[in-house]
Amino acid sequence: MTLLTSMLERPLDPGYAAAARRRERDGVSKARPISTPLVGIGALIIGLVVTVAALRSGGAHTVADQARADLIARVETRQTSVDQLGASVRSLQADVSALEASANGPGNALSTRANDLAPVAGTMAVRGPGLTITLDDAEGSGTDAVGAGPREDTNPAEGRVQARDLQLVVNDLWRAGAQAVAVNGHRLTSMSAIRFAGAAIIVNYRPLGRPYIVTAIGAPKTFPAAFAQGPGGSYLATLRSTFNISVDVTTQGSLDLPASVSVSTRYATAVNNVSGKDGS
Amino acid sequence: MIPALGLGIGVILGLILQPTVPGWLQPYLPIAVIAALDAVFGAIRAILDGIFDDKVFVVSFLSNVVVAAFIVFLGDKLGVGNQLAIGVVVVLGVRIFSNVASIRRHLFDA
Repeated sequence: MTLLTSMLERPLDPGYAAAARRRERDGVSKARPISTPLVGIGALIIGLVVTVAALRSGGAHTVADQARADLIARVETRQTSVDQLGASVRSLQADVSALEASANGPGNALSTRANDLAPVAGTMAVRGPGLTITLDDAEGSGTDAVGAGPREDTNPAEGRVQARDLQLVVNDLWRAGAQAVAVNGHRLTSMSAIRFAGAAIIVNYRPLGRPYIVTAIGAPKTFPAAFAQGPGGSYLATLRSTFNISVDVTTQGSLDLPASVSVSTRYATAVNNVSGKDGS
Repeated sequence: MIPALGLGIGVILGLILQPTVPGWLQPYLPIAVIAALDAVFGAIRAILDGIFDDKVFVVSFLSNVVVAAFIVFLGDKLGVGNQLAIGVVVVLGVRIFSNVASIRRHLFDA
């Protein structure tokens, strides 16, 4: 307890008392003037320190915040560069098809066949009537990305749109006769995947932000009805009624779907004799 | 007069310059603030006691900051930085409280 008592009883710096005793012994006045340059300098330093500390904590510029802002800025720059590269890929693809067409000559069987296949393969932007399905997380389902770790909650936010929902909807769009499908502007091809990574939905290796807009082109008379009456329509109704997910299905007279960016195969090469003869 | 002037100039300098505190110095800023407060209240009490000494004031402030920062630095190196920082804050906080209590007795006789 001596530590506590000494701390409580003698809080003043012993230096003051010692200096006062020394001066008393020397016969000078006990107190020295307060307004001296030395005190002024000390007060200046104190004011500076307190102000700087107040500014730092007030602005919340902690190291973690800075690192977070840095990471966000880097992600954003990379995303812009990916978008730019995607745009250049699309324009180059358009060049390639134009050159192919001119090389083959108009009316050529090969170029006609390529033109027929390109919309199906997803290498060409297409336009036509179809459906727009907008899915968004339910109100108050904690859509903020912060603290949405996959392990944080054993029961993941139910009001959220899951990758499974998009998969089911897209699959049923194909079943109902869709001829081209895109999710948030990412055209789906034979090489596309819709999957979950943590709390984010990944389509064509790009994470999507909400809302999720699925656009599909199909026969205007039969396609919307076939989708609405099939399992996809009832699944959307379940999402809406059970999980309060906002679902909006609209029929569009004309939809523009972009070309897919990544359809090149790096390792799979075409077998030469497509006609079915032995490849060797 | 000079102390008040110095304090004002310090605050204005801090506001105008907005110095960027290097990352390795940031953990010591709160400690420095507590030490500064301790020095200020100690000085006020000494003035009221009639034993104020300018040299003691400046030296005690600087040495408090340096020792407190050193203890926290040592604690960081040993992996107990938070605990030692709490210790420093407790010691200086107790001093501030009892100095303020003494000042209050001087000023209000209560």
